[in-house]
Amino acid sequence: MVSLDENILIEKTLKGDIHSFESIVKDYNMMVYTLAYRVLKNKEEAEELAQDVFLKVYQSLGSFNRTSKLSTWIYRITYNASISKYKSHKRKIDAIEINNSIEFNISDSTDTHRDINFNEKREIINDSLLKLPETEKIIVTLYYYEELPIKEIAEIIGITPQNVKIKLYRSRKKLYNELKDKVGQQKIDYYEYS
Amino acid sequence: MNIASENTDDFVKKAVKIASLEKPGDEFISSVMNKIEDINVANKKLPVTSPIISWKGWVTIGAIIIIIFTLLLVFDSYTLSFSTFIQYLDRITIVPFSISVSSTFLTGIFVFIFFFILQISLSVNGLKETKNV
Repeated sequence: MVSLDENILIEKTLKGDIHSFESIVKDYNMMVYTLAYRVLKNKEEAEELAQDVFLKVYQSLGSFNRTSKLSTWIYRITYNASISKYKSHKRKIDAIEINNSIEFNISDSTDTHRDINFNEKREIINDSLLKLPETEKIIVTLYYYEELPIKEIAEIIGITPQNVKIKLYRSRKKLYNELKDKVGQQKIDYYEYS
Repeated sequence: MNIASENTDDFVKKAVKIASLEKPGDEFISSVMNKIEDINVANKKLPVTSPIISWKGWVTIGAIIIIIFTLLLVFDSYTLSFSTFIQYLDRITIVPFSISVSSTFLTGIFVFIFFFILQISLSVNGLKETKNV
């Protein structure tokens, strides 16, 4: 169900007040862009797709039935658009991914024993996130960062809650195995509370 | 969830929080809003219009014409036909002036009234649709 504030913003937008829609864009631009980027792995394409998502949201706002949250609806549009674009450019992206992966592994092998700073740690985690399958990246981001319930994620992705749990379990395991040696538990705790 | 699983969950959660969100370019929001303004301007400049006579209207008019011509061909002048209607019109006299009018004249007047009413109703509907846009 749409919150009262969001309902007001939607109503005002539908009456022609584009500043209300600007508030919606401000609220969701980072998450929409992040989801697009994690699927497409290309900043320009992700930005272009995020813009298209907001244009689609604006044009379809009148048909939004408001039985689900506005965020759920926006993330579902983003997910569908990202996966669709990813599939159409799959070959091209795969080639870039192989190159990035080689570069990452080389640099990583030299950095294993030195103390890594926050930005490097963030980069390593992001690289590991990008290695997950497309749907799993979205699930992990929505579950751990946005802290959405499983049911809502299932609605966004269009699969059953049980399938979301299975994918979440797999991706958690993969991420943990990938990151535990590169980014130790203590360092994670240090940056969490610093 | 067991302790090991909880630790894994906690570790991954912290890692994803550290990864945080990606930020689009500084011009992102203004670019989106400019495009939305462009859409609004385009929508205002090009109101959605529909033809005064829809395809259903043309089909109806076509059907009426075909029926009239079919009736004219099927019925001869001694049966119920268009000529019967003409003969009926021949008997009409405009009483106050005692003027006899020809059947052709009366047919013309009837057809004119029919199309005049048709055009007025279609025009009114067309104006209403334009106002709604």
